[in-house]
Amino acid sequence: MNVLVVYTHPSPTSFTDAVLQRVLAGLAAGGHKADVIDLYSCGFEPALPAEDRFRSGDDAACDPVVRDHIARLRIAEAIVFVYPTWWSGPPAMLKGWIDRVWVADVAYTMNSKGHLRPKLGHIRRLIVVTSHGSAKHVNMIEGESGKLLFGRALRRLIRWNGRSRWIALYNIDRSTPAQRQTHLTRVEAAMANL
Amino acid sequence: MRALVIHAHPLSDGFSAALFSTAVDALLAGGHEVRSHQLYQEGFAAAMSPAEHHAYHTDTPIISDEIQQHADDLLWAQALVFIYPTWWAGLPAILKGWLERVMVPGVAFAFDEKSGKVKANLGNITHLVGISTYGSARWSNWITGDGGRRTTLRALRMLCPLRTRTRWFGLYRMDSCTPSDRTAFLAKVESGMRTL
Repeated sequence: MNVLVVYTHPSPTSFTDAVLQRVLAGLAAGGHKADVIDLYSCGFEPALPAEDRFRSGDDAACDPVVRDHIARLRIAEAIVFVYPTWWSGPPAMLKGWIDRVWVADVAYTMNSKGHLRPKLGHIRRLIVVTSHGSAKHVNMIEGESGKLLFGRALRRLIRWNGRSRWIALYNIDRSTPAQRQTHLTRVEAAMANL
Repeated sequence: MRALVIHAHPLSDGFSAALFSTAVDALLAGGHEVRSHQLYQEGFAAAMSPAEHHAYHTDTPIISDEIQQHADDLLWAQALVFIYPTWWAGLPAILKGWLERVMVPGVAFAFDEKSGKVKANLGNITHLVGISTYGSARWSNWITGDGGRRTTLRALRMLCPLRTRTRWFGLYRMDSCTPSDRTAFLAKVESGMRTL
């Protein structure tokens, strides 16, 4: 499968970077073709500008970086998000990528009644690999807005019988090296069996 | 009461800006003190920079005067009011980035070295308010979970005292609602903020 990997972390030596390496190793082992977008290193500007709010993804006036990412999203058969959960959701950088790239005529179209119609039917897998500083029960009290964003709001835009998966390491601040290793192994295995 | 109003919308003259000025004027009319930030108009950087991430776990996580001012305003306030459009069931990136860059250790919370637990530090906040506009209907947001509302009212509430009150103002179906719906919503925000 053509797999678009969207990676978000400001530091090159983070645990999330180690996770990315295992994601890529797993995808290679499974015979998949990975295309990596590293949002911090490509200098992505996450704040949606006023003039782009209702702009179609086909509009040539879009930022060239955004247009490049749209072109890569359109040929993806699977998408994998790799990021740390901050304030119960994806980092601003990644939220901004969704705000700017998952636009009209790319991720959805509006029908005459003003209802959203999915347009990412070419995507069969939506996978999130993330880590949380706090424990699972704390995330549940906080409302797990990140999990809802990917699992519900964005999930409904991919193929109707596509699958989404949430692979998370909770309580990372107090995790043991063995727990982190287990998580990495699980991530690699999941990517090989996409 | 002392209120900090945070506004996140790229247009300075749209409906969201009208919500902002209505809320600020109503707070002042109600005898409250107000400080405010319009993140887009101030040119606030949405993403936490690599340098800020590096400083996050040090004793000085704030490395710019700009963020120090935002942090001072946050610790000064008794009411925290967010005004933003809901995009993809959540906060616009610039507002999500405000939480990440301003609510750092020593400001919103502290790490307890012994237990490794997070200790809340926003004892000053007694009111959390969200004012948001949605493109979709209320039922649709109920299904997708309204992550923005959860983040501003639930996740942040964990850092505030138990008695902190939360209040939500939502205008749904923004694109198809009538001018009178909008006027009614502005009036609701006005009276809600005046009597906060």
